[in-house]
Amino acid sequence: MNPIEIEGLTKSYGSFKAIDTLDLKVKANSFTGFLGPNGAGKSTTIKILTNLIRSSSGSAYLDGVDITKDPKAALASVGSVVETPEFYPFLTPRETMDYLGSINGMSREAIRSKGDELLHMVKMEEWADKKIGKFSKGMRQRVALAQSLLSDPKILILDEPTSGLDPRGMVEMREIVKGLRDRDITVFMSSHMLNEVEEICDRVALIEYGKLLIHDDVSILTKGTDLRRLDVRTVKDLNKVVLDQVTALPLVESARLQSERSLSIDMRGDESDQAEMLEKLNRLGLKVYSLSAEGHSLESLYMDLVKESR
Amino acid sequence: MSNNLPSDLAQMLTVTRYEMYKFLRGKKIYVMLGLMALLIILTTAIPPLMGFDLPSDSKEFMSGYVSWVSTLIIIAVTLFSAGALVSEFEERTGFLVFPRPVKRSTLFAGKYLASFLVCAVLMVLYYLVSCILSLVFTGSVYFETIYSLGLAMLFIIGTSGFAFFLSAVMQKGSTAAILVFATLFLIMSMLEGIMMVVNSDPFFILSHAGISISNVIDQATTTVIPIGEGMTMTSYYPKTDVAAAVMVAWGVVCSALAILFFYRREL
Repeated sequence: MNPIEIEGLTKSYGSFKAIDTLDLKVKANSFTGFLGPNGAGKSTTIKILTNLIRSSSGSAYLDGVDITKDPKAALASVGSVVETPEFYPFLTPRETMDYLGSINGMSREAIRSKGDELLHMVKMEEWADKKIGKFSKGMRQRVALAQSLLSDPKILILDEPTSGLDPRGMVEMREIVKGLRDRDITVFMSSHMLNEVEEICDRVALIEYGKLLIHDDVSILTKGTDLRRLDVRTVKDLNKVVLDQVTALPLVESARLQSERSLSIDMRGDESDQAEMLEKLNRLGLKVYSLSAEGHSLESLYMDLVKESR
Repeated sequence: MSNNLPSDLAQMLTVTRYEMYKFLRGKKIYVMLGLMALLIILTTAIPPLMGFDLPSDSKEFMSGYVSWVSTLIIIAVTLFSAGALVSEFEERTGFLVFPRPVKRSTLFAGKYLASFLVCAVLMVLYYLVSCILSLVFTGSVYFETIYSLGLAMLFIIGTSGFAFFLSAVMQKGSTAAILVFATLFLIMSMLEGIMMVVNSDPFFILSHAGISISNVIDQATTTVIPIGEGMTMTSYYPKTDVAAAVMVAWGVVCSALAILFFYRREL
């Protein structure tokens, strides 16, 4: 059985279905990004998987145990960071580890050695004996990630793990999560940041209106999607005639004027097609001095799929 | 890992231990200790300051101290129990602990036990100091004080259950605390008074049952009082065994409801 198997999971609030008979199987040792627009049902799914809310119907198996039936056993092999959790302000990170590790049945020695290792990993060892009440959001997020790995979980569930962090904190958090690749662990993370998912994850599951739209390897999904958006800056003034000429070029899906000397082009193709496009634009006499691809393949895929489902 | 999970009992004791840390490291415990010290000082010092002698009879002496106990318990329960469950939602610490392999009922039990223990230890301390003072000033301790202490423990069970119930259903800890205090201290007392005026025994009201804590020493009995024009009201005093049963019933029923609401509550 896969580490995470969701079968016909539904969560209703009156007549509104936040999740609608969702089916999803997350492969062992995969790093799966869980994507979807606001209100798609990502957080609801993650909250059901972490016993924060109850499903209306369906099952969700974690390491073979249905969390809707036996949450205690199902969560035994799960670590999680959901939103930015608040900690008990009167405890230090080390005491928090002791509390949570004891609940998981770890020995004091194991908690101490593992806890110290994890606090070192998230660069919080200097703060191990300071009360968490005084910590910044970034520091709390680091401690949150450390506690999620305390019991050597087989499954790690992360909900927007870099939410609220400054750019440096985001980079460090991503590096830590990427560093888990050499462990026997399955990561299931939601994020609004597609570049983050592309950087960390090898698989993507996309949901909208509580239903799964697509779930596959990132490399397979992005291979079939070659839509890219180009931001073009020209020396020559642009007009409707030029725009029509650009729109008529091969591989161009659409083009829009942004200002007198800039336009946006949606085109299909790879990097060499993009290079050819530059030549073609200059042949039209545009005198292009800057051309950059704004979107990347996962974002294009995401936009395509979300657009299609609406 | 699942095979290594501790029993519910072991997890409950872990929760209790860390809840106790919360109480011991917070300010509320000092508020309670200060209030208890103040009441003991006032009860001991006011009669001599007003020119009266302290009672030489141990029963009468203890009565003065024990009369504060139900009020102290209501304040203690307001401080230590009213926020116990709601804080996990309001302060979002539930995001940390609910995804752990622990049942909500276990979390409830651990928190309830911690709250009971801190209130119980404070009350035992209060009785202990009162008994020492009785020994110093009267040369003895009134034996029935031990029954009063037992009833105080039952009153903690009942009022804690009620406070946990409100904590499970309220959105804010401050609202739960105000409601616990207002209900136990004011609303129930008003209801009690109204029932006495219409000569109906308010034996089932929790605060009325709490009167037994002092009455087991005072030993007052139910009396009918004329209030004019052939009308009467009855000043009811709770029977000790009935009061004990009522306090336990409030504790059990309210705790059961609290577990149910806490289990069903979503974050």
